[in-house]
Amino acid sequence: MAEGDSRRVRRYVIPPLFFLSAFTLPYFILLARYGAFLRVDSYLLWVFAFTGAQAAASAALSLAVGLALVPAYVRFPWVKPVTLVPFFAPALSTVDALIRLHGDFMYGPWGIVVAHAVYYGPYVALVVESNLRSIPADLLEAADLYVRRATARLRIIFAELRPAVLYSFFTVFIFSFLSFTTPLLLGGRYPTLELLVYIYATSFASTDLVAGLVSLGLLSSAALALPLLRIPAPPPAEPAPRAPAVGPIPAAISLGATAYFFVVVFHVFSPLLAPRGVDAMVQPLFNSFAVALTASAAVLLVLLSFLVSDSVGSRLPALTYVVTVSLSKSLFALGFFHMAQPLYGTLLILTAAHTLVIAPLAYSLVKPAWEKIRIDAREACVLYLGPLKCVTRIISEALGPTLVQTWLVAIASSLSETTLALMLTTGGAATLSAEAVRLLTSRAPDLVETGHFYSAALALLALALLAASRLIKPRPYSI
Amino acid sequence: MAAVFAVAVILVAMLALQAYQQTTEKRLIIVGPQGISDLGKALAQEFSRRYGVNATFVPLGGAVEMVNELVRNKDNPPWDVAIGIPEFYYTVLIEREVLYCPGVKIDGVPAEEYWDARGCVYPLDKSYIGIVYNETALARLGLRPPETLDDLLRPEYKGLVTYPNPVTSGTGLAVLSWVMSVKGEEEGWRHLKQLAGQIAKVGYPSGFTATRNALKRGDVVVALSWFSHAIDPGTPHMRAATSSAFLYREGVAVLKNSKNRDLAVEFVKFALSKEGQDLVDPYNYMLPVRPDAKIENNKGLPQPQSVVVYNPALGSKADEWRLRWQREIAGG
Repeated sequence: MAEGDSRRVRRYVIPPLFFLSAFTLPYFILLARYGAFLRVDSYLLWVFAFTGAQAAASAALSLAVGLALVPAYVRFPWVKPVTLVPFFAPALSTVDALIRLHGDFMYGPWGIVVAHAVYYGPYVALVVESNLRSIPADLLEAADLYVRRATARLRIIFAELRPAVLYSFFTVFIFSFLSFTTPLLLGGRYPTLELLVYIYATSFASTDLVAGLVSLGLLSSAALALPLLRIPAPPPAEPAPRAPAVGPIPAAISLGATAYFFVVVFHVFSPLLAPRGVDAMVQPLFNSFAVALTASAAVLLVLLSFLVSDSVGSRLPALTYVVTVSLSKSLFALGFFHMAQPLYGTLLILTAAHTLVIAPLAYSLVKPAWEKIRIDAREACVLYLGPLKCVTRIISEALGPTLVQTWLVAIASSLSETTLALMLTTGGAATLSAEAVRLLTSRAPDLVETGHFYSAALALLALALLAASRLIKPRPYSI
Repeated sequence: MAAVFAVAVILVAMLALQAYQQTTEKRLIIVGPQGISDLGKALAQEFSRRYGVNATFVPLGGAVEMVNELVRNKDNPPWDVAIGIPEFYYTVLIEREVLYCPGVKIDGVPAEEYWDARGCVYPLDKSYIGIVYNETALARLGLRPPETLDDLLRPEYKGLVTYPNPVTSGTGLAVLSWVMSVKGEEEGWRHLKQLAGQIAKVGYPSGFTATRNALKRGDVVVALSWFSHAIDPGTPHMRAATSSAFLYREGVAVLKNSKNRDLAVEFVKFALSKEGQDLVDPYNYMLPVRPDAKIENNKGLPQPQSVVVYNPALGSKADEWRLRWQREIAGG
């Protein structure tokens, strides 16, 4: 009987195992093709050092911006959706807006750090606010009553916020280390490792320069994955009995920071006031939606298979999430390019790649909702119906609205994606994001202005989908 | 959920059909740099009409970018034939075995126009790269037009000059070849580094189209680019400094792993025929390689007093130069 159970469990682990193999295969193809050796020169070392330094500076500045935003989040919750626009908008739209806002400063070494802080600061604020709201009300009341000095009170609160601070610092460090679109749009003068892979693999395909990057890229991104597996997530957002008190001075400073985000958001959307190149946009837009709709449906299928595997206690889906979040996307795209060569130049190759990259992200969105279902209910369901029937009939029904939300988020992610689009599509089958990047990096005034419009349109589409996903408010199983 | 999957199934079927057609249908896909799009489309259209086939032109960035894409996709190219392959950056295609060398003889093209002795790349057209400037803008600034490369380093031209990015653009790599040929390598790099301080706010445009656009809008006053800007109605204020120029020759070649190789060879023959060459001047503002081909626009093309031709001995250095340019000039 026990043997039969274990065979049944193994059967449900096959889909995520297959998925993980499919995701990691491109990396092995690269290693087989280029060899597992480190070939570093002084320029590569400089790029590596710059990538790490900018990631650390970006994480620190994002933390500072996030902490500055927290008082506004607590006192004026309505500012949150606006400040989060740069985070949820495609990276290219936010960078483009920042270039128009700050001009040549953005092309300097600090441009990339500022851009990262603008995306990730509001995300950090969200994580910290969630942690802040989880602090027991009696602790806050005791601090108010018995601690007279404001600095001592702050010290107590910061001690409670430590998990959120550590978690957000580390995640922003990873996101910034793996940054691709930002340094590309900022002129490529200060490239990250991710961008260098793209430059060497495409503009220098006639050389074998990219070979020296494969091992370094894989080693460094694997090194990022290991702590991510161990670092504890911050406490979940549970509304406190009362919101922590925020004084007028922190609130005013926070509103000042918020005002900056309002200006950025205006710049993200302002090109929509001057439409350009609308006719030429139709084909890339169609391509983008065709890929996004197909990939997002495939993502839902993968997601259900992950939940089935989860229901039998497998940790493979969680491992897959960590692997996909932390491994180099440029190297994945390059390996996938070699793996799916016969399909190069078609939209199917991009659909397949999007499915592999977005599915684990979608799983991470549904997982908390899945865990909100009482464990005894889940166990009973699995016991009486079996994992497959339980997930496809009962759980998918219970999580239906959450799955629709995730589907919309997956479409938005697919529309916004640029690394894969640039490396896997040709001029004949470009997506809107790839076309916008090509226009924005052309340095031709007319084309750049058309690129502004495309990037704003892309931001509008992505954010409209995300806004639609927020309109769905299922209880109790919401994202 | 059912509706989502139904739509997805339909889309997958559409994409699969499109992919199937793209990989199996008997049609000719011509690839070329963005800047040669007008000629590419005209050749495709005329070839389709004459041969009763479905020929399509696909633009692919700058000429250097295209050559690298051809290398990257050499095993399974989604294209059949490439146009706009620069003389100074074609050897990489031979070394990486990207091209098919049909060795066909085409009557009417003078022997001196052939620059690939192996018979893999066939000459398509040619023109000059040199210093071009906006006469009206310079007059407004009270500046004399530059005549030589050294003139561009004068303080009054600071922030007015540009040339295309040689990492992606054939024009940009031609500029590098020109500077290195004229000045020698060591002095050439010193010159390029000094020139970096003179570059206009737009920076280094990605290719011909982007440079033309910057000139058209007046964002750049002086450029190292095509003499054809001086006869292009889109850039009416442009003139060329004729003391020296670099001869830019580009060709057409069949890809070794083309799925329609015979048709691609026919296309090469057509591109070099009188009918094909008649399209070069009106659609590409370049000089055809056949003496009997029609020339209208280029009748007014400025003629350089001295012409620098490509030195094959420097050819193998193209990638080394591009890499150094990327690191030392673009990277600062």
